[in-house]
Formats: sequence, structure tokens, C-alpha cells
Amino acid sequence: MDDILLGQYVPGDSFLHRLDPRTKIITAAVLVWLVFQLKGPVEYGSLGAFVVFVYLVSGVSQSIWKALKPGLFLVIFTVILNALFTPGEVLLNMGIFKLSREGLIQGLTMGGRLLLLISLSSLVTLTTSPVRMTEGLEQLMKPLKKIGFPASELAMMMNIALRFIPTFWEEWDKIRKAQLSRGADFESWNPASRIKYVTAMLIPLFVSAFRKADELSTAMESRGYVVGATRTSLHVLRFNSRDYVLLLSIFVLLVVFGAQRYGLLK
Amino acid sequence: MSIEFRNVSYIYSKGTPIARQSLKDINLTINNGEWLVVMGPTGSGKSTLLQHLNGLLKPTAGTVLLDGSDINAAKSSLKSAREKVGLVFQYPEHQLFGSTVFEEVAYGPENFGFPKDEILGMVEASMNTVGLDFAKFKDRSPHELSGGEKRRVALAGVLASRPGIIALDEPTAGLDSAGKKHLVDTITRLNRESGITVIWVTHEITEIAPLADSLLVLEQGNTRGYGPLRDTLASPLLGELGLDLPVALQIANGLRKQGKQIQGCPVTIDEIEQEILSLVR
Repeated sequence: MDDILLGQYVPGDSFLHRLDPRTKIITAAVLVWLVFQLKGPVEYGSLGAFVVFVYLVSGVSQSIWKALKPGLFLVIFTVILNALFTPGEVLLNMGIFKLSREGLIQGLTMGGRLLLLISLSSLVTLTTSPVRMTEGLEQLMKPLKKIGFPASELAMMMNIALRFIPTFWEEWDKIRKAQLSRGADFESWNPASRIKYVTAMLIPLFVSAFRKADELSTAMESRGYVVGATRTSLHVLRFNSRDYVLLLSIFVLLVVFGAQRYGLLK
Repeated sequence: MSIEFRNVSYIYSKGTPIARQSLKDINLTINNGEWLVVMGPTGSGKSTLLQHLNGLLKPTAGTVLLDGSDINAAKSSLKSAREKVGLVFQYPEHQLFGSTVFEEVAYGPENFGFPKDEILGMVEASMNTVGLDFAKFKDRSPHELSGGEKRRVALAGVLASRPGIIALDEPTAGLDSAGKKHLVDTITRLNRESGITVIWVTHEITEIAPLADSLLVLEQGNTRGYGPLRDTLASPLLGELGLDLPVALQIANGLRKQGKQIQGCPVTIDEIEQEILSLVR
């Protein structure tokens, strides 16, 4: 359960940690687009090597496995399904399953893409604290305010949701122990009693969530929070030279890659 | 029913970097019908201790004996400990889920497998014990009751399985003075008339000092004081830890500071009244 309490963020002081969250989000978005443009093992390999390199220099390499684990099942599933069910030149005949050359290539490509997507986006969440992340998102979504998009409110909601994960975990633990003390057997496989145990957990949890939401809104209002009001921020996000350098190089990379791919450089 | 702690230690998140020792080598004997008060500053391990009484937590070292047998020995002994030791958590009204008071109170007896016709009687008896009129309350939703009534429903829900030991974590927290008195009276009756063993964790000792038999003082998981209530209260320990003292004892200590002679360790208003009267005479 400690995973939930601590979240994904690994505190540190690397280049990536010190970047403005907006830079990281934009860069990650560009790289994600790039993943879909890649062709051939050399290109996949180089981006993969680059991602591993960034993990190493950011001091979050020990979290690579933790980040990939939840998606690993999906990756393996994708590779196997594609390899077995894509028609093409048969490499291995196993009755109804036929391992085809085209399928294997397509499966590995898709699997590689998924791995790159997960590791790239995890790189952002691993090096950005949740608070800075929502601040960054709020700033990025600011232009959308003009068309009535509630950017600040959305960011506040995300912050509150994150803040309350450990609180609800504690509450869950407390209610579970109270019901266990009254003889609840959560390991029972009898469907009727299982339904009853779920009710005994969820109703108190919902009641407590509403109570906490009520208390929180009173506390926020009494400290002057008004929906839609312009608020200043304690930590103002500021682009530094490293942000400009990175954004510029990612732009250059984008132009060079585009030109290469679409044959403008010849 | 008696309960015994033999060299019980407990470490939270053992084997991880955030491991924290919460109980250190606790030895306790709570006899049948005894009333034990547990006091200690925040984080002293009081709640951890309570969760060992019915096996919610398993000691990292040592054993918890219920009537002489280890409660963590097997699944069946654990289940029977859950039935015999009623645990009332802090703010127990937060765990209510039933759509009626009856359903809520019957939850425990149902889980412990009592037959249906017996459950009816058990629910009625426990509701009467906590002062909720059976006919009036049984079909109401527990969520629409007042705070004090909700807590009584929660208490009835624990008492319904007829535990021989009842352990309460800060049971009077957040109640008004009438609610507090009602609760203390209820537990006193259970202890005196039905011989139920009581373990009472609290920050406020005044109202139960005249009723309880023994006192355990914890600090950072260590036993700092344990023995008959008056003996433990007479030592300067509680004052040193910044814990609450009975009002009568506070008055006595104040008078002693002024050089007045006070006998023994007065814990009730009547006792300190006698002492003051004898000073005036």
C-alpha cells in the first residue's frame, strides 16, 4: 500500500527534476507523436536507448520496472495476438495458430510503441511532484479559459483528489478493521455474504467522503476561495534557460525529423 | 474473561525503510471483570495495543492470551477472539452502513453465525442496554439519528454479540456532557452487573477514575506505569507526560504545593471535599 501513499514521484535534483513542468509536458507530447512516426528497428532502438539514458541521468532508473509493470500484460498480449493472427508468410505452423512474419513484425512494433509510450509518460510523472504537475497543466490550459474551459477549477480538483488518496486509504483501513471486529470475513466466497461485506465497506466510505467534501468546502470558503476568481500562486512557474534550450532543441529535432521523413532534405 | 499480554512487541511495516516500533515488550494481565484504563500521549501505541486484543494486528514478538490460549494460534481461535472481545473504535458511528438500526446491530451476531430467532433477542437486549427503545428505533435509518444516538447504535452493534471483554478507544470524544455521562453509566452497568471486562483508552480520566481498577501509561510504545489506578495516579508520572489528572487530584496537588496536609490520593470530588473539610476544621 506504500505505493499508493507515495505516488509515482521520486524526489530528486536532476536536470529533468528542475525543468518547468510545462516544458516536460510539451516535450513528452512531442516525443509521443514521434513514437508513432518511427519506422524500423534502428529508429525504435535509438529512441529506446535515449529514454533509458534519460532514466539513468535523472536518477529514477530503479523505477523503470515499477512504471512498466502495470502495462506489461497489455504489451505481451499485443505482441502475441498480432504475431498469431496476422495473415502472411507462415514461419511456424501450430494448427489453428500460425506465426507469421508480418504478424511478428507488426506485434513487435506495437509492443515497442506501447513500451516507449509508457516509459516516456512515466518519465514526466516520476520527476514532477503532483502539485507542480497540476500547476503546469493549469498554465497550459489557461488559453482555453477564453472559451469557458474551467482550467483552474480542474487543476484544483486534481490537487484535491491527489491529496485525499492517503486520507481515504486510512479511512478504508479503519472501516475494514471495524467490520472485521464485528466478524466480517472478507475472504468468504459465498456471494450473498460478499455483497454484504462490500456494502459494509462502501456505504461508510461514501458517507465519509461526502462529510469530508462538505467540511473541505466550508474550510475553503472560509479562507476566501471563490470559484472563477483570479488567484495568485505561491510558487510561480518560470521558464529558465534550460527550458528554452530544451524546447528549442525539441523543435529543431521535430523539423529535422519531418524534413527527413517527407523527403524535403535531399 | 481475562486477557494477558506476554512480551508483546509490534513493528509497523517491518523490513521496510519506514519500519517503526509501536509497542515494546508489553506485559499485561487483565482479570475477569477488571476495568483497565490506558493513557498516553498521541502516538504512544494505545490504538495499536487495542488492535492486538482481537487479532487485528499480530504481534511481531510475544503472545496475546485470551483465557489462557493464544488468539493467533489458528483461524478458529481468531474468529472466537473477534466474537468474545468487542472493539469500539474512535468515532464508531463512522462505520455505520445498515439501512435500519436493526440491520446494523444484527450484523455482528449474523457474522458470528447465531441462529435467526436468537438474533432478535440479542439485538433487542443490546439496544436496551445502550438506552435505545427497541420498538421506536429498530426501523429507523441510523444515518438520520443524532450524533449521540448514532454512537449508541454503534455500541449496541458491538455489544449484540455478547462479548466478555469490551475495549473502547476514546469512547467519549466529541460527545456532550449528557452523552458522556450516559455512556459511562452504560459501561459501568455492564461491568458491575454483567461482569464484563473493560479496557478504556482515554485522554480524560476524571469521570472514570472512581470506577476503574487499574491504569496503564504508555509512552512511545513503552510501559511507563502499570498497576492499581490509585497507585499509578499517585506517582508524578502523568504530570511529567502532560496527561490529564482527575480534578480532585489536581486540587490536592495544588493544596500540597501550599504546604497543606492531604492524605492519600483523592480521585473523587467527595474525597477531596472530605480532605478540605478536615483542613478547615
